[in-house]
Amino acid sequence: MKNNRIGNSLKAVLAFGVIAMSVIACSEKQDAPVVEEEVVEEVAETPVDAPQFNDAQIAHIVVIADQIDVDYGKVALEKSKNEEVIHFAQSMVSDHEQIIKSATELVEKLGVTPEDNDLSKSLLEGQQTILEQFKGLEGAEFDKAYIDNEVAYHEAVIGAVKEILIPSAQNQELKQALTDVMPLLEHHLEMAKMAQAKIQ
Amino acid sequence: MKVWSLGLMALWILSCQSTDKEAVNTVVQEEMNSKSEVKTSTLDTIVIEGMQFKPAEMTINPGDTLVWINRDIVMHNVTDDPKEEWTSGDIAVGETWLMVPTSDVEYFCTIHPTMKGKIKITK
Repeated sequence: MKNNRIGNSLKAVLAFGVIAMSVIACSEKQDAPVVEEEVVEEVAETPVDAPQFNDAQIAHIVVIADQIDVDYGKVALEKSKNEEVIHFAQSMVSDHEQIIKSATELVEKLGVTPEDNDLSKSLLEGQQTILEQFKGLEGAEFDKAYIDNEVAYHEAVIGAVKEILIPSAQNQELKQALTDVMPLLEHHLEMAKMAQAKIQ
Repeated sequence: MKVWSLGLMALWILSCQSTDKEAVNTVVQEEMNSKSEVKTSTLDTIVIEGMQFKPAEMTINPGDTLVWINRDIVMHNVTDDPKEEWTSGDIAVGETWLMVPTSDVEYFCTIHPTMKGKIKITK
């Protein structure tokens, strides 16, 4: 029963990753365009077959993805009594709130209005499923579900930022901001895996 | 008073520097008391970026001042590892923190515990 609940939780959170991978898979089915040799370098920098989100949609995805992890962290801070989990959750809330602030400042500077899209909608739907499942868990069972979810969520987000959002971004400042956030996300994943090993 | 002078001088020098992300070594002349004796000490810079202290290991001379500059995208701190006997407190994005180590130091960021650094002082 416990494993089943956690399994469902992971499936829901991985929806982000599955959607991301589906978009990549669909784009890979497209025939590669014939390009002149002299423009190959430019194509390599901005792949024509990259899944396309415009900058306004990317801005929305970034803010939603960060806010979701802030929300998960706040639930953990309310429910958990495990020092390792509490420390991890505090870092997630603090870091992702700062990223939201920076992202908001950047989109204001760029004059971009974040735009709702299928990926951000799917993220929010996935969040509702996870939060519902968190409600029914307490103690060590909750701690394990929260940390397992954080590992899966960060893996999915890292894949989406790297494979979809960075290649799609048109504005160079936005593209650089997405690139700059990668070490933080990878560090969070490492922290989540360390916490996962400690509470098993 | 001397410490304040050194700190102010260090910050003035930092404000004059370019945004070069490489660690920099700047010689600061510290006026010693009212005599004309002048002693030089070094201001060594550790840049925090990409979730790392750069350089992660540094050897300095006794009396040298270290400055950590947070050029990352989130807040960090510099804290004694592992006893947490001293800490910089939060170093916000774009801010700096100064320290004159009196012995070898191992430190980490409590917010991101896998971020670690070492300072060795030459004998």
